Amino acid sequence: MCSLVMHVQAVISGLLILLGAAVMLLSILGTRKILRLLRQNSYLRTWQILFGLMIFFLFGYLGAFFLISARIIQYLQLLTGIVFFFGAVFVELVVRTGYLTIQDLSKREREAKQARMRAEEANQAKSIFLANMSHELRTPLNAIIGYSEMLKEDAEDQQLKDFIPDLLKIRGAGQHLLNLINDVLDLSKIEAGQMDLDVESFDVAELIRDIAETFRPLAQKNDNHWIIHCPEDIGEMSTDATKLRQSLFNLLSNACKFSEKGTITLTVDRVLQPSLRPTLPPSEWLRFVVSDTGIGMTPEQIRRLFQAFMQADTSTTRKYGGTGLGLAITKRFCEMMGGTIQVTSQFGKGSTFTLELPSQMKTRPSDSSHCDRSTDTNQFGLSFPATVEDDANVTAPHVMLIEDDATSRDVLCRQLKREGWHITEAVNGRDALVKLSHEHLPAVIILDLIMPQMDGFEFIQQLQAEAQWRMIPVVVITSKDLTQSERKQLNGYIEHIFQKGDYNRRAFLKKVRSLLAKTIKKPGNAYSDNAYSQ
Amino acid sequence: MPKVLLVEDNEMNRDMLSRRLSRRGYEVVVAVNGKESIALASSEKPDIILMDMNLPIMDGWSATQHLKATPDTQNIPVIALTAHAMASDRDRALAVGCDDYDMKPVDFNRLLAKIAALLGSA
Repeated sequence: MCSLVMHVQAVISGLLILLGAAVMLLSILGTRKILRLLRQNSYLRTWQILFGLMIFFLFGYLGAFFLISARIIQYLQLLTGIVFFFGAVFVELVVRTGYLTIQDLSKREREAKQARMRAEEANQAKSIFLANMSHELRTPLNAIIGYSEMLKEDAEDQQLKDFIPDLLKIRGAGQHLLNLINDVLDLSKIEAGQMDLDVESFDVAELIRDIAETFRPLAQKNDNHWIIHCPEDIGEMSTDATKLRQSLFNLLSNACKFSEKGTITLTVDRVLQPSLRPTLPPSEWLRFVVSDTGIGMTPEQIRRLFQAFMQADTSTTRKYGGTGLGLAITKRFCEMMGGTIQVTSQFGKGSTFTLELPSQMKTRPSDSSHCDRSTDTNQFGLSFPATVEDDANVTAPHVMLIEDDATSRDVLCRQLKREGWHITEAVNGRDALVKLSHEHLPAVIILDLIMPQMDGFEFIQQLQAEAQWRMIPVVVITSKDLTQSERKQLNGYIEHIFQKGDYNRRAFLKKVRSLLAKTIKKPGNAYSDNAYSQ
Repeated sequence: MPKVLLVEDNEMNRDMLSRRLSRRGYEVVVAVNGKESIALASSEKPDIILMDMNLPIMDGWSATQHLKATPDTQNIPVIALTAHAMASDRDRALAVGCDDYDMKPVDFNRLLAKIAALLGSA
């Protein structure tokens, strides 16, 4: 009887062990599948954990096998069988879950990559379209402007005086259309981040003389008096001369357009701006002030002034013409050159535009290998133009948190709020961009990398394209194991990478605190060194 | 009377520019593509060439390169006319050997000044 029970026990435990072994085999096969996926997507950390788990179970089985072969206690056989079987089932479960998770993750990553590629392609297509469009539009315009000029000459020769004003109107309209196309092209190039700066050293007085020469006929048109204050010995500056010339010309022609029998003054001088860091000497800037005695603007009109396609109000367009793009372009040019533009105006009395640019413009290294740590980053310490309401500057430091996973976001948000900071939450890159353009700018951005719609990589690119946003320091929190090329892509644009599940909360908060301290000191000066470490 | 070789594929622009130039006392010869411009440059011996860059069969870039590499024609000044408002076009035009550059739509007086300057120095 007893031997029968033992026999049955032995058979059952043997069966269980066999079943367990079968399940094990399945797990091993599953693991190989995971390994393949992992190698492709470099989720090395997860791979290491799973591998450790496998080794652990293998040792467990070896131990059980030893007990069985030594026949230490008869009942142990059954126990071992049960442990073996359920152990194997457990491993199989882990493997299956892991497999599904990773399949999901890699699919999401693939999708994100595809979306990024699609966005890049779309951008490329847009630029090509613009270049072609401008060509296609200019060719017929060439004919319109040219033939109307010819006809005007004919009319003059043949004493057909009545035709001349109409022909001049056709020519004028053609010219207007041409200016419009040029402006739209400029603006879209800026928006697409394709406007390059051509920095050179030049004599400021000479540039001003040159502008004055070109500008004289325009100033006389409305019987305006035209004064220039520019010391002959003002010296050189290093920036994009063409863009500076265009900016000044925009401001001057506006001044002319809106003044009649008035005075237009251009004043140029050098100013010293205190550095962000007290240890560095103040930096030299050049200040160009264009003031007129024209119609002026109300505060409401000033507020909308620098937006594209916005003149002070729509009736202005009818009365004074213009594309409404000049100031938007001027402002963006200034920002690209690391400077500011501000306006003060009294309705009915005139306006004053002040354009300030660093005397020595330094280009920000786009390649991290050329990153010069000693670069005086104060050159980029912009103060926002008067049109941005500085009084909205909330007393609590403002942090933006971009994370798609609701749980992680909630946890992080609570940690950050406990520090007394004001948090803006965004669920992906696109959402964040919308919030950036509508809300007060944060002093620090905390960014996840893998997100739907717009991932962290694309978000950083977008951030770089906008001068105001470029200055905001970014801290990355990610569960992704970054590849070498991805690191390179981020290098120089972010402050620090924290690995999800592997970072010290205190170190993280300390980093954010120090970044806040750096930027809050001077509102709007959110740019800091390209410190990058892992 | 200085002779101008105008290379332009767009009929309206060609007609307009050639008429305006003749009125100012220039003798104008026209070519509609790069290949024709090379042939006319050696047969007609113009004093100056106005070259559109976007041309069928052979574009203005290669035509200019060819002209500047041929001993017969390399001393004829070439003004590039392009409709592209890209700064890079200017550099490219000078790189292939153009002596000056102007952007379309052409500001006729500016173009005349450029022609006069190059003819004066030649």
